[in-house]
Amino acid sequence: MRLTLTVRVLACALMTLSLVLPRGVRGEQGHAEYEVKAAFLYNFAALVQWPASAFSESGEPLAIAILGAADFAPHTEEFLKDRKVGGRPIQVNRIASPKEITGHHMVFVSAAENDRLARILEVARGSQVLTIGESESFARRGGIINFYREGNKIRFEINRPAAEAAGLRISSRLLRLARLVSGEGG
Amino acid sequence: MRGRHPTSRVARERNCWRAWGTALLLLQPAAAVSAEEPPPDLGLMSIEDLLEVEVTSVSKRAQKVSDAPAAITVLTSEDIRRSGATTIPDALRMVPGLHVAQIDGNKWAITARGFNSQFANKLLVMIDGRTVYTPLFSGVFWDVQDVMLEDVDRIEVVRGPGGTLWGANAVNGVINIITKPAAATQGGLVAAGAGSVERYFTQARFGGKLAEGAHYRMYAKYFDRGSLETSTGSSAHDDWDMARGGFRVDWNATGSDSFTFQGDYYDGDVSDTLLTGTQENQALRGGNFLTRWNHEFSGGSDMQFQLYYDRTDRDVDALLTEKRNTVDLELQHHFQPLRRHDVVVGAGYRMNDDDIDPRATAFAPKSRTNHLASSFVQDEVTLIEDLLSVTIGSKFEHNDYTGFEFQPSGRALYSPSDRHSLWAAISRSVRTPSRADNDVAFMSPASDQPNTLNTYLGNRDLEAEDLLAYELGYRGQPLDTLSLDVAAYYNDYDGLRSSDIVASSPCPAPPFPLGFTCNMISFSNRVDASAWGVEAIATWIPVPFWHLTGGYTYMHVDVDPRNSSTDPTAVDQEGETPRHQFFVLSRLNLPFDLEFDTSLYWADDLRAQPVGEYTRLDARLGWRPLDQLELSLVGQNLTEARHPEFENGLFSLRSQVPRSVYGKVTWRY
Repeated sequence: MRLTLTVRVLACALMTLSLVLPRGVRGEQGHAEYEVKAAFLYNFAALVQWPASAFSESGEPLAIAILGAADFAPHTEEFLKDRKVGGRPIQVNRIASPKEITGHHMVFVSAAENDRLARILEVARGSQVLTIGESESFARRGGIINFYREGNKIRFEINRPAAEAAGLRISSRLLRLARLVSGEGG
Repeated sequence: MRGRHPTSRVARERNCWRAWGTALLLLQPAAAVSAEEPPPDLGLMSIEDLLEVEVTSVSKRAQKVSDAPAAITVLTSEDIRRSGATTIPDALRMVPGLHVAQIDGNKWAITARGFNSQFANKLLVMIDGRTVYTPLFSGVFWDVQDVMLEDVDRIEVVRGPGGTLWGANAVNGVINIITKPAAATQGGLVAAGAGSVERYFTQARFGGKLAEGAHYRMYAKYFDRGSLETSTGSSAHDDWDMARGGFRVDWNATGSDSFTFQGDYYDGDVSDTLLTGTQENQALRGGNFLTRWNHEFSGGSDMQFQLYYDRTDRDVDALLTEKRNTVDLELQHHFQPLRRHDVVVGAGYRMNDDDIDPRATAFAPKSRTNHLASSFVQDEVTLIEDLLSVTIGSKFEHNDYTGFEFQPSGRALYSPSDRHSLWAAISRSVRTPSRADNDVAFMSPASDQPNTLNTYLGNRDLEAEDLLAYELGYRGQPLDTLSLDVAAYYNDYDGLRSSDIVASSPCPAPPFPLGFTCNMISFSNRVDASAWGVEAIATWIPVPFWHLTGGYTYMHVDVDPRNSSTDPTAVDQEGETPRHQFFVLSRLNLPFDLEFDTSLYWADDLRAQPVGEYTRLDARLGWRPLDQLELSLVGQNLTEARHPEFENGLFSLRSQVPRSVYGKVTWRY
């Protein structure tokens, strides 16, 4: 029983300590959702491995298509323009139709494109494209990475079978941070 | 328990909490100032840090339907927050297929698919990969199972046999409570609250970065829960208080190796009233340390090694003390040997060492060390791309009670379209005997007859209980705003534990009162049973700011004692879960950052017990005036002054669950 109180005093001390410790690196409020998503896209590009056949030459840019998010594309372009992934420059294209996905390595599908999601995923399925969405059923319907919100923070889920079907290798670091879902596309 | 401590120590504890409150008040302005530093450059942030960035627009709830060929329901920390639940058992009320019933202020009977009791023995529970199913009685001591609910990533509830992956005792289901990685819990969280049954509680968590790729968090929480009520509304003397603290470190050492280290320690007291009417205290303490190493090979295969140590100390004043050490190691390898094959193999070893001081019970021997060796293999085969896959596998175990056990299963998943899938499964699972099943002797008043005393005797020749289960399920999203999940099962049990009367005679008086009958009862495997049922859950989002979830459960159990059985209470198991249950959850986001949530639960009567049908209504009003600050007011069991949910515990009297309220303040920084 002596331990009981000792532990409680310790628990209380630990809680007090937690208030005075320096705070780690963490985000402050004030970032627009799309700014953060652009930063995620950059990280995804670095943590996903495409098969060699996805690039015709070694210096070929990594092409990212943005479908249906008018305010997102310019921002993403700005954010990514001087960055490189694995020695490749990044090229961002705003596209209007699902069939333009072909030839890109990544496609971001905005929530506004929900109505033609089936068509979009069908086009993407045939090629080695990393599909990234932001709508509730995106990953379950065969998309590879999907953003969702938890409170004020952005989280993502990954449909691993869909990634494997597209020939993409997702690093374990990314998988560990994601909520894994399965669904069509496996 | 308070009276048992020297006053100075109590005062020291009280002073510390007081100091903590003061520190909180003094430090918050400083935190608010530092929040005004310029936002960091997103481009320089690692993905772990990005997960902690707060964004500004309206919240969108993610779908939680996963397409596994099993009956799975997943609760997230958001589901728990909005339910107002403060305990894991109360959160589990939101899962169809389970029966959650509170026995007294600190005990629950929780089961999946039938056979409920204080030690419901067919449901396995794991917290972050560590089993919390006690080998003492076969079951879960819910009074020591807790985590920081805000740090829960998800609670996965799999109904149906899970023996192929999880091993023995996952007969009717497995509950996996999984906390978030440290990188997802950066920054601080401080919460405190007070109320009627929740007298007061306080908790804090802090997460930071140790180095590039290495994150940590630590937490502490304390609660003091008051007593529930007796049928006349007086105090049931079943209060419960507990302090708990712990940490977790996740380290991505290289691109392909990552490590997790985590541990917890808890210490608390519970009170209850014994069947004899005496009030007693239990002192509970325990801790654990777990480490996990993940290695990813090139080519998509990976390997995991996990080792943990767990210690529990339980001191039940009148009954017994139990000290238990568990060491568990597990190795798992996941690879694709052929196209279309996804294979997981694993091997494990667990040592369980206990030391029991029996008081009103007897255990022979008093101390016992058990070894469990196991291995499993599972192969998921894609037969037709995007349409049909099957998963087959088996667990092979050797335990000290019944020797070798195997638990195979076969599952199939058929996905004819984007929005619909069907699954089916056949599996075998076993429940292995507990320490008490083997070695106990105890005396207890008979529940079915007056003036009768039963002496229970363990049996070393007890066999494992077998289940062969047939399951079928549908999961679909008929509309963008509607998702639906239905599962049905037929369970065939063979050789369930029976408590057979082997001798009956008038009790010698004295020491016993005149006219009492003494029964000698021995455990054996003389009961067969079958059970079937349906579980459904649907979520409908009529408008983006309103989520509605409905769940329905039907359970039917037929118990069939063999001719050789002389267990008069075996058939009571048919009525220890309700035939029908349903719940309706409403989660409404209102203007001005208000949230209004209601949860309605209904359970049919328990035919084997004096427990009628009951309705429970919980309501929560939440307000987030600032991004960092959340205020909430929760009312629980609002429709009735009080109601019972389950019959007496093994040794203790049941209480009634009263109407209660609490308020809570949460600060995130």
